[in-house]
Amino acid sequence: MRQAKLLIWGLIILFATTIQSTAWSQYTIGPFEITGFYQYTVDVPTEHANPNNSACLSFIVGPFKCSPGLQKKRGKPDFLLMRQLLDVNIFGKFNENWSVTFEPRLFFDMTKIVDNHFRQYESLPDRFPGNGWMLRGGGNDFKAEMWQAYGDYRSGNWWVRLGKQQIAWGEALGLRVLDTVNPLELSQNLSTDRIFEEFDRVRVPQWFARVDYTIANDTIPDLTTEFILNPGIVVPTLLPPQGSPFNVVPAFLNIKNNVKQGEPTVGGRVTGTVDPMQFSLNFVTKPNDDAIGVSRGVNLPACLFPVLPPATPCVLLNGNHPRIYIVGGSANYNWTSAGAVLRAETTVTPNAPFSANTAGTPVKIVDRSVWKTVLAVDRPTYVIPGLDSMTIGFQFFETYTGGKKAGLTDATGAKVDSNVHIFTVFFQQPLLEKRISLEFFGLFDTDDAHWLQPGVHWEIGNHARLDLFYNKFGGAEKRGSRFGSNLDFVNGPFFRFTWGF
Amino acid sequence: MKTRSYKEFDYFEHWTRRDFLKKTGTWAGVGLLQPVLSLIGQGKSIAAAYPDEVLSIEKYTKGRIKPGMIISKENVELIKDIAPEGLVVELQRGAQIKIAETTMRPEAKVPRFWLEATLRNKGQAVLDSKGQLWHKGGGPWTGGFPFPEPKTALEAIWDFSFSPRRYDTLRVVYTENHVDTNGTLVRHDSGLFGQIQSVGRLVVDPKPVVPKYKDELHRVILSLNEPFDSYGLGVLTTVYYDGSRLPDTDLYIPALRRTRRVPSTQRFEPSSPYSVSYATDFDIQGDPVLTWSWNLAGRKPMLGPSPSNLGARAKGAKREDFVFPDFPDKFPRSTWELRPEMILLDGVPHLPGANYSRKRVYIDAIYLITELADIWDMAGKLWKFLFFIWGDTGVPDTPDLTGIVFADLQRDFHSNVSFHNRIGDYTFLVNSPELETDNWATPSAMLRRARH
Repeated sequence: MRQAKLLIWGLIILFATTIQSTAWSQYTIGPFEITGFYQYTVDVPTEHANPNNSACLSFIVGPFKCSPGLQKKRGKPDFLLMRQLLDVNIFGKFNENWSVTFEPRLFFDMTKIVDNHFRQYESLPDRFPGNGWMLRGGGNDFKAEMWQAYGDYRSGNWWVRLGKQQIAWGEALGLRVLDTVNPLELSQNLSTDRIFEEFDRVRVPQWFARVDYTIANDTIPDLTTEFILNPGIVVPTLLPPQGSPFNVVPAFLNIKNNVKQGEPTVGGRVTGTVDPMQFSLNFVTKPNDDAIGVSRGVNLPACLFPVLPPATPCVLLNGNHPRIYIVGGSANYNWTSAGAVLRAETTVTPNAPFSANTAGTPVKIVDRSVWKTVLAVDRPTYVIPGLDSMTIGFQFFETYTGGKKAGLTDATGAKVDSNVHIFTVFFQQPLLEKRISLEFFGLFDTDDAHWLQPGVHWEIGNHARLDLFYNKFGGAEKRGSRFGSNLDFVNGPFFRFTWGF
Repeated sequence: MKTRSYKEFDYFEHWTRRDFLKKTGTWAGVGLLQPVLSLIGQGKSIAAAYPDEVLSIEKYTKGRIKPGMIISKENVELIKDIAPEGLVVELQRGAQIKIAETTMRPEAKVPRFWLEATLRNKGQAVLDSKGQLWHKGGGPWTGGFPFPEPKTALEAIWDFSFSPRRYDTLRVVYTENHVDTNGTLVRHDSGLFGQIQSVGRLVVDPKPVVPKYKDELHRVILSLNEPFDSYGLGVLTTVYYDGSRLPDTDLYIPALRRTRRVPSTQRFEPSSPYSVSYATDFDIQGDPVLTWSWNLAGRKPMLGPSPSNLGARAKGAKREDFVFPDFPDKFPRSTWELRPEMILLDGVPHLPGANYSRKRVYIDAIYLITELADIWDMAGKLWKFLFFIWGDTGVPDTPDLTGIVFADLQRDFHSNVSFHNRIGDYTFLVNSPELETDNWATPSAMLRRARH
């Protein structure tokens, strides 16, 4: 009944916004331009309940399914997400040198209101020491946050940006090789949103000083150096809470996230153009975004009698974030005769952290060198006669981990391979003067894991946008760090209505 | 004496009968009496260059069309022989234009410094065997019209395409209305357009070439403000001096928070959802000169837009003022006049994905700019009509575009652009040293100027 009411209200809002008069141009107040959007998202699972919410462990019988586990009611939930989001961008330009940007966001997560499969949980939680700097507050369902807040100063060759901001580096899309300055907020988006929008909604802005200087010279056009510094306001990867639809932490596990504030993130890059190539050379050192688990013992009663109560975890871990160093670079080449742009991107992390396990228990953190490489090509191609060209993107991604891997697990608790190979393809076919886009994203892991996302994006006039997409994870590969059947509980369609202003 | 109805009237026949060609020797096909450029150099009116008959629409049409007259679907036949085919179709469907006297001042659409440079550099331009434009002394062309009296199609198109906006640097603010066949406004875009010339610079130092970018013709910046999901989107196009090389394109995509180089081959498809315009249509001829082949199809007097079309800069203008007022109409009303000599060029694209069989570009022989083009699809059916209006911007000696119509005649759909001197913090700016390539038109400049 409640579901029906909320769906009706959603439709009423949709209708009400659609019939408003078409008042063009964004709102302006003094030097401020205000734009943004309201978005209503419904994500429906089609396969089964999230196994992580019912993954129990008993010292007597071993791993078992403790359904309903962390859910209130057993079985597949009706919704993964039903959410309203208001995202506002406020840009104030005071003169040619100074400007400010604020991006407040308001969330209303209705999932657990409309779906009685779930117990109460906190949507968009940020439970770690120092979380006040995220400027996020609210209750279990409603959250308000200042997503971005920064000031810009530009003068001649200098550009300085101070404040809570996203910093995105690199060439690859959807694969994080150089784009690792900011952590991700995954509590409602386990890579299931429209892939074309990449990480913009989930790349957590952090407090940075970003200083760019363009070096005037006649040899390398646009030669620019960039220095970034976060003085130590650390945000880790934000995971969905246990018991929530997207939870990735098994019910028997409790991870205490030890986020040490005061650990700075420092980095920089050099970018430029050597015709016909554009390049970047990058460096960053920071606390590892993902928590690397180390055992802090077991909760014996919970391990002996795990179903009473089901939410009591058996295995206790400390989640640590050791400092890592990343060096890398990227380049693109405009292959004009082929009508294509070639891209390459690589990083080496000499001290990537892993858990070393003894008898299945992570006992300490060890370092291994990790080398990531992406090769990509983008080429618009006329595939269907009479239609606009199809945007075609292809990426090959390799992760190589050096040293001994025996007994090592990664941040997801998965065993580590020497080499991981992933191919991605992206197709976008515009129709009807680009008002409608048919899109397909496919990610294929050679260890038999795949993620497919076909969908439709429809632009209606200035204000309304409709998206209908479908996520399909599958394959024999089940490890948590892969995009395989470990995520098939999120398989299903999602629908978004967006009203922009 | 029997008077023929306008339906029987054929101006070409009338023109041939008067036999101007025989009277005026070997000058251009419209009966040029003396070179326009020499008159400009002497500070004289260009009226002396042409016979009276082509300087007055009333005389030319034997009184059937007079200044002040409104042309609509009721009397479109009157102008069908002196108008682009696309304009005739537009009028038959409900567009209206007003007829004005012929403007004699070249500076109505060409800035004076450009005319002066044309006089100064006359005779210095050459085309090599591939058709590429060079200065006689070697190196890129140094500014002004390279061929003020073009004899070939290639010379005429280089006159325009070398620096379509004439200014060393330019920044304009625009709004664009997409209007469907029913006249309904279906989408509205707005943004900023900038162009920074790398060669042929006449006013802003360094002149005439920016050494670092000497292999480029110019860089074009487009920064979108509307709709909401395009807010902050930046497009940087690097147009090379080599007329056979496709431009480079870099985007700043707000959702990606970084710049991204993309192929520039998608030139024959809508530049944005709903839009009639393609990248190839920008500035009438957006592709590099030598990626098309060009033929001179003729020269004749024709209608062209009047510089009195002030567009959105005409504050308080009403529809009945016919100045291309800023209303979200399917057919913004504008004023036209008889131009004494229009050079007709037929271009054929040789680019992959080209879905035009032919484009007829009309170049005004006095202004040496093109404001009009008809485009045919691969089946040879008239597809589009492009109508770019140059006029008074309200800034002294700074004529520039005041409006654009991209008309899809097959879908009966329009994308109409208006230019403004100010929207928000954006202002109209020409020849400003502030508009420097490194500060405005590089990937890192796009990043630091991003609004979102």
